[in-house]
Order: sequence, then structure tokens, then C-alpha cells
Amino acid sequence: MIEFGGVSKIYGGPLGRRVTAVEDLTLAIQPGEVVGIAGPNGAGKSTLIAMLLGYVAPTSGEIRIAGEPPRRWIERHGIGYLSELIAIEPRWRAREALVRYAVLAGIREREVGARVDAAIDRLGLGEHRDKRVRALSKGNLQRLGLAQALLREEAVYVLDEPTHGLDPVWTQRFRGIVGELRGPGRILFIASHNLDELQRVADRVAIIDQGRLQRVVDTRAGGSASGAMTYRLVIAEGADHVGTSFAGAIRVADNEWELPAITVTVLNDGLSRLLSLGGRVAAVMPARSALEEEFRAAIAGADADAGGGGGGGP
Amino acid sequence: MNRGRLGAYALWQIRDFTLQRGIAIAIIGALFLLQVRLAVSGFGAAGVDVRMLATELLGPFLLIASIIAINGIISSDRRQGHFRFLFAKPVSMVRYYLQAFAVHGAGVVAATALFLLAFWWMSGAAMPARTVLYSVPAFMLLGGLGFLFSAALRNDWILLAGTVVMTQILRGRYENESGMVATLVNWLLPPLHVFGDMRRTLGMGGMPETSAIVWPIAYGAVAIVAGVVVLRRRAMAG
Repeated sequence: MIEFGGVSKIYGGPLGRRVTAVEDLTLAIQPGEVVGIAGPNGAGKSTLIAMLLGYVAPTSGEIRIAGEPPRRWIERHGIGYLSELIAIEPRWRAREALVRYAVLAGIREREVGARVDAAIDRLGLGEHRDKRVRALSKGNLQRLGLAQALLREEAVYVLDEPTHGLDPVWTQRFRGIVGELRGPGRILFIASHNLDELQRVADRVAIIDQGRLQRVVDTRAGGSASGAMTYRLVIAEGADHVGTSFAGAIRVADNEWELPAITVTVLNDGLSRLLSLGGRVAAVMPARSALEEEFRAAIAGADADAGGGGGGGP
Repeated sequence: MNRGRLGAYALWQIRDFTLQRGIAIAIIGALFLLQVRLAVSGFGAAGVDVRMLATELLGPFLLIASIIAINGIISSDRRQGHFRFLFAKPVSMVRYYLQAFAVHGAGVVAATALFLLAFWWMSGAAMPARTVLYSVPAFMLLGGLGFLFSAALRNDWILLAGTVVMTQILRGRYENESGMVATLVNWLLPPLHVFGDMRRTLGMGGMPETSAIVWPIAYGAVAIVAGVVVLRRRAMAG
């Protein structure tokens, strides 16, 4: 289990400007869970992950992995970690980098070659295996970073912006990899700006802004906490009746409207009215995912509450 | 879960040292040897004491070799972010960098041996084998300080070079004086002053006093311990 207990991180000293990157954050992640973390730039995600890896010490509060301080646990067990910044020595060749990480990961000498080649195949890096790291494209570098995190089976994976720079094919394959990694006793902690991605792969998503945990969304529950969602309505006929059927509808194209934050009951009442007035509906779909709705509400709430603090981090 | 095979990783650290810093040290060594060649051919039979020349060149050679060997040993990983993947693996940061220090130190000793062999080949004058031992206290002192600076700061080599220069200036200024400041200078600053006599004694086949060997080694060891404390306490990120 991973526990963040009232964790705060304040950068800056008595002589410099103090910046609160994370403030009194409490969160527990159980084995078997895939937990996402979302927030705008500077929300404190990177600092939170740096503290979880033991690269930055909290100013107050504590972090525990299976009851131990992060560094002590990681130095004994290791962690599958993909950082947002893929920092691998540019002189190394792709396969060489994986061999080095495999040695440091404790993979036995006789298994290193097979494990590395399996990771190369899994991430589609076969044709790039002998290229120097500095010659890899952003997407291939991202896959190399992912490959080193997947060299061996870990109890904890921390993936920071895992689909950043990946093309749609590899973004989809990443979902498959998360599905393969998901398992009892294993924790996946995924930070991403891509709410759609988190909605698909995570069980819960912690939304942080201005260093504070704003809310934790259960993505498996479906729908937002308030039950209200924004829909997109496309009609075939009866454009004149949309406004009278849905208060607050915003026209976004000739035959397309956005229906902001309405419940399922309000949606159906409006559709009935529209149909009874002679309108014909071509399509109705959520304009944003439930997670996106929650995210917007959380950020708006944080902005309204903001009286101090601020994001920032390494 | 297995712990990381840090011992096996030493082979990669040796490779990195040889291909990066080793080549730079070899180039510096070659430039020094060129000086020897010019001196020998220039003075010819008029007789320059080539052994004494080698003994004197060993000092600046080891200073530069040590700076090259220790520069950025920790700070470059921190600056470039390489620590992120390295220390997500089940390895101790402290052990990793102490092992790197040992590898780099062994590299400097090996470079010194090669320097003296090349000198022998070039001048025909063999230095006593134990002259190589001079590189051990020299690297322990300079490398230990460099390790501490690298754990604490980004521009570690500038600080190391500055420390050497300041120490030489202050020791020269207070060498023959007494009083509080002179005592502090004598006992607190790195004992670089012992190396001149140590080189000459070794170069002539003698053995330096034990205290002259122990002092820089102990000073370097204290700096390494301080570096380990800083490494444990200072954030890697940020």
C-alpha cells in the first residue's frame, strides 16, 4: 500500500520566495488499484511523484510504501518508473541502456539478454535497438523509457505522462500494457494530462490543483458525482426548437449544440420536447467524459477557493 | 524481488571511465610527456635530471587527472536527470556513487602507472615502482573533496580547482607564521603541502613518513563521509 499522510512540500528558504508545491495531501492507494493523478501544469504532480520516489523530501507529513520510507523500500524492491523527462545518457545505444538498467534491476546475468530483447519486442524498438539514444525520436525515446520500466515485474509502477509523444497506435497499445500489468497486489500510479486516457485505464483519479488534493473520482462508478454531464446534440431537423427545448444550449455548428451540465432526466425531458415539436435527432453524445466534468468542477472550485499557495516543482 | 547487481554494474562504470575521462587523462598525460621529450632532447647530455622532471610533473598531472576523474561524479547525474531511472532500480544511491568513486580512483592510479611506464619508455629512466603509490593519497584528498562538492553543488570542478588555488595561496602566506589564523590554515585546509616532499621521497626510492600519507587520506575520507551525508539529505530532484 502507498500512503501519503498530510504531505506538504514548500520550496524556497527563509531568504527566498516560498512556493507551496504540495499542501497537506492525504491519499491511500491499495494493492490491485490503478490510480491516476491529474491536474493542470504546476499543480504539484511532479513534486508528488518526486517525493514518492524519494528524490525530494516532504517538508511535513510522510509517505510510506508498504509501511517503509520510499527510498528504503525502493532500494530493496525497486519500482517500475517512467519519468516525464526521459533522461537517458545520449551516448548509450538503446539496447545497451536496457542491459544496464536490467543489471541494476537485479535481473540475473543469464536472463538479461532474453528480458531486454522481450522488452524491445514488446515496445516495438527492434529496428532502433542499436541506435544511440540521442538519435531516437520523441516517440521512440518514450517507448525506450517505458521499456526500462517494464524490464521486470514490479509491485509498484509509477508512470508520469506515459503516452506523451506516443502516436495513436502506441497510445492504444499502452492501454493494453496497463491491462496486462493490472493485477492483485500490484499498484499502478499514473500521472497524465490526458483525462480520456485516465478515464480508460484508472480505477480512481486524484485531481490536484494548487498543491492540494481537490477530489478523488471513482472512474468505474460512471457519471459525475452530481450526475450532470455536458452533451453534444446533433440534429437533422428542427434547429429552431433546440433553444426552447434546452435552456442554455450553445450552438457550436450549423446543426450541432452543446448542452452544458445537465442530468439524464433533464436531457430526456428536453429530447421529448424537441421531438414533440417536430425536431429529429441525429446524435447525442457526452461532450466530455465524466472525469473531465469532475476535473473542470474541481479546478473551478480550487480557483474560487484560492487564497494562497501555488504550484510548481522540479 | 532481487536486489540490483551493483557489483556487476562496475564493469559499465569502468567502461564509461575509460572511454570518457580516461581518454581525456591520456591526452593530458601525453602533453606532459611531450614536455619531458622536449626537455630531454633540448638539454641532451648537458644533463637535465629527467627523474626529477618526472617527479615534478607528476604533481600537476595528478591534480588535473583527479579533477577530470571526479568532475560531475554526482552533480552531472543530478543536472541531467539520469538519476531518475537509475535509482528507481533496487540500488542504493550511496553505494552506487561510492563504487563510482572507487572505479575512478582505480582509474587514476592506473593512469599514473601508465604515465610512469610511458616516461620510462621515452626517457629510459625508470622511476621506482612505489612512485605509483603517490596517486593514492593524492586522489583520496582531491577526489574526496570533489565527491563532497559534487554531492552538494553543480559546478564542482570549479570549486575544487578554486580550493586548491586558495589553499596554496593561504598556506604560502601563513607558512612561517604563528597565531590563531596560521594554526587554522595549517589544520583545516587540505594538506596539499605534503605532496611535494612525498613525490620527491618516492621518486628517489624512499618511503614518506606515515603521517604524510595518512593525513591526506584521512582528510579525503572525512570529505567522502560528508559527501555521503549530503547525498542522503539533499534532494536529487529540484
